[in-house]
Amino acid sequence: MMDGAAGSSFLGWVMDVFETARQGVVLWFLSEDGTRCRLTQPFPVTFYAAADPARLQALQHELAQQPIKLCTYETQRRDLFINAEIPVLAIEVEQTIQQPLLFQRLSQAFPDITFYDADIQLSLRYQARTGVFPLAYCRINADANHVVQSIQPLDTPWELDPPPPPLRILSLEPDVNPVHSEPTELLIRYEKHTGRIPLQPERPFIINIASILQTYDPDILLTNWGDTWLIDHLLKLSKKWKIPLPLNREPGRGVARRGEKVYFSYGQVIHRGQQVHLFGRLHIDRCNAMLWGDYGLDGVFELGRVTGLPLQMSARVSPGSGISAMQMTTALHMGVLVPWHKQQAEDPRSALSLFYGDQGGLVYQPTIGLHSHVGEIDFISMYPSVVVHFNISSETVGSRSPQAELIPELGMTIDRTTPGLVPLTLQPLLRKRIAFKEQILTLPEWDPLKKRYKMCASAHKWLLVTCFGYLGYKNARFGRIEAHQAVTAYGREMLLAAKDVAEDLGFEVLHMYVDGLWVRKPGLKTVHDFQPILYEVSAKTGLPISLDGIFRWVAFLPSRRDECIPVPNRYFGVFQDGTIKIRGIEARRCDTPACISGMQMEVLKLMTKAASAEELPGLLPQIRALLLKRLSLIQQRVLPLEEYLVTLKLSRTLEEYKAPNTPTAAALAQLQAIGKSLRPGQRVRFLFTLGNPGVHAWDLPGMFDPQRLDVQRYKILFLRAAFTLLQPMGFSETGLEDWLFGRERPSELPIDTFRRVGQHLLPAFGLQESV
Amino acid sequence: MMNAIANSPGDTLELASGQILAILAPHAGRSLMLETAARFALRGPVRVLDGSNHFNAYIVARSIRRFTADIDSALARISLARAFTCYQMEALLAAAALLVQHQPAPAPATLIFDLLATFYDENVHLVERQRLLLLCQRYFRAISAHSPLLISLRPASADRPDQQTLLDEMLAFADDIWQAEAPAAPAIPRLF
Repeated sequence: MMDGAAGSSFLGWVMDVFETARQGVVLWFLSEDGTRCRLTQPFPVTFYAAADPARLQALQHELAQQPIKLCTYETQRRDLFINAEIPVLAIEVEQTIQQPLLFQRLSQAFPDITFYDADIQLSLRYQARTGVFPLAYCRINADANHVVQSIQPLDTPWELDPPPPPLRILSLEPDVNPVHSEPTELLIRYEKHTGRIPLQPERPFIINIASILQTYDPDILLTNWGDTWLIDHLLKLSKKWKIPLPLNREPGRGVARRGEKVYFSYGQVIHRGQQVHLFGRLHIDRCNAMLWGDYGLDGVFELGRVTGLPLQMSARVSPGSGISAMQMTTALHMGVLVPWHKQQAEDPRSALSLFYGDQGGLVYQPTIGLHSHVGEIDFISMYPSVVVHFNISSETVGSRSPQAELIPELGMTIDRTTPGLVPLTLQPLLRKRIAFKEQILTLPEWDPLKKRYKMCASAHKWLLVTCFGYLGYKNARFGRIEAHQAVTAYGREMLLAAKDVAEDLGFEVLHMYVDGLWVRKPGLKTVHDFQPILYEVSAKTGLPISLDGIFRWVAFLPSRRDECIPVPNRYFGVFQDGTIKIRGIEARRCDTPACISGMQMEVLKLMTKAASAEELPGLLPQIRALLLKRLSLIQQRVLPLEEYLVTLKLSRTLEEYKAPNTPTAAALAQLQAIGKSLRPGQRVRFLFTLGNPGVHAWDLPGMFDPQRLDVQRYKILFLRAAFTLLQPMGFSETGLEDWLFGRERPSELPIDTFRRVGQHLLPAFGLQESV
Repeated sequence: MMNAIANSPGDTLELASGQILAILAPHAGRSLMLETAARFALRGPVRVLDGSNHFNAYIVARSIRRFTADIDSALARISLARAFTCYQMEALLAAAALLVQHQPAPAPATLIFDLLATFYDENVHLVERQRLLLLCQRYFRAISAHSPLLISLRPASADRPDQQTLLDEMLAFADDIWQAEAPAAPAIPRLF
């Protein structure tokens, strides 16, 4: 901090921006010298209204009656869907905090008026006006009253290595999940300190917590179950024992709560618990954060930087909300109106065009069986790349411009000459993700940056995955179903182009799945061997493509019901570096008990010893021994009970289950009987038990006797999972049991199964082609 | 007036201009409406406004195929637009009401699939949904003056009084209502 006569100049990071009653906005700023400063800044906000002149006059009359400081003026702004400037009434409110309430009143009084820029998150407005985003490194000049005179960002959201803020992080974790049982102590970690504080007696406990908050003064409170239990528990104790608890830094503010939410996303019911936000300090609950396991705190920071959403929000909101925020910021930069409610509906089209055009991603069924010399090549972030490359956006699709091109299969046009809002939003994000991926490939494992890059790339991945779906999402401000369809239409076209290239170069295409191809050409073993196909595909499509890896062997699995029917995206294999890749098998499913998925992964690990498909049968004796050992442990009931847990996500309430005897409904009923109710989207955990109702809900109180475990049921699951892995080697379901329990030897398996596996495997089993 | 339909409305319902006919059925009578669209498309142009992305061109094509090999011509006679929010449904109906007035007679039959699906969205205030539904009802009158109009509705959830309010408003508004009959229970063979 540099003090001057008129005030101070700061270099550092903006942690949080929020509204205040009379001073515009508050900025909590982490100065380079470690000072935490509270600054304020006047920040009037503007929103717009469009209607016929008479209604706008009535609106102005209403505004004149408002007891707050505001001004209005007529202006022209661009409506993206009309793709032209329209006359609007601008309403500028002096105090930021008063705008939402004013807008709410106006929208109720004038429901026929179209409002724009009316419900934009403050941090996005702030970023659009100042260029400053969460954790931005910047220079601030403030006067003696700590009122910001100027603020200048010194980095952008697109830096790979922004200057890291020296944040103080306090971690608080109850010893058990409060839903499961009553916690008894709190694990506390900050810097090099680690300790456990008993929750009883209450008074010394809360004094301890208050003291740590006071003395360490953390920037981030990182909790487990903080949103749904811990913070409320601490506040309750603080009130009960009259011990002030400085959860916030901001004076005079309580905690902000946002209610729990249940919603549908990609066909799944999602439950988000209550949220607790702080002021001047950030609270992030690992258990309620979105995809915490995927990208952690580094990913949350990255999301805050690129989406512009406050960190407490970016940790918890869906990637779709992140994309929406980015699009709004782009719109504000471009001077495009952000509609409150999108009214643009689909243009009428014939059912015939829907029949041929609305197809989704292209899938080319896999060739069932074990294969060697296979390379997997993937378009890098295919759909976002398609959006950027073909300039797909709400305003570009259906363009009547003379330069517009025809979209394949859809019969619609697209303007590729003027960059659209959605591609403009995605382009820097896509570039940054590709840069991260390049760095990840080149950096050695020991480099600490590699881990951070992986987290950031993972955060980007979810934003980019969502951006395509968001184009068709009903509440997307700049979404349009035709643009959504255009993405898949181009995607199909690009995949077919890639297939043509592969076949022209002599590859056999074994499988295609939306954005990836599995190609085989005997003799090709190195990355260099695959360069020509990558180059040619990229040249032909204009999209980036990469080699995901070369498989030592890969097995594409058939349907469970009919072994002649292939199933897309259900396979397992081992890359040349020994990395296992699995899709669609039990170990990938979150409802598989750990003892089953653990077995699958152990067997797969053993199978990595095979350098080619031909060597796999040689491992069968070891696989058999391993399976018998694992099965014996399960049947003896000696594994920790957690290994037997089945976890299922609820899609409905107990009352909505038509069959009350299903395991899920029975476990739910057990919990409901003791007053623990779960909502759709939450997960219920249970064990399979002997007798009725056949399950024991994990979150029931009391001890569970392992002798009650229904090991026969686990055995069925076990054998099914083992069969998944061994089926490509020619086992039938009954044959597997015979072999496993010593009834037959592998060479005695029915010969037709070997024919199905492939002639090249017969010698490995000691059999001749002529058999 | 509440009537009952058993199978295809194309077989039993006669649509005429000037009358607003509603079908109340689970899933908004999806299969009935698709079959109806197919039957109408065999005869002439049809306008489908879809409130819940229920329109499945494959099913319609299959229905058409039972009567003609020229599936493409029949499908081309169906004009389709989908609404994903109640605001979009209102906008679609406003556009359709305007269009129908300028179309040469006879105007194509109009089928509204699952009208209330978007209106059952609790994220929009009930008062606002009622305002929009009232506007839609004006458009229905305008459309039905020139074109046969069939609207499909889904029952309200038992625990959602807001949905029941909206449904009641539509049932009170429609000139004629047909309700799908539950399939008859199979007769149990008796010994005596």
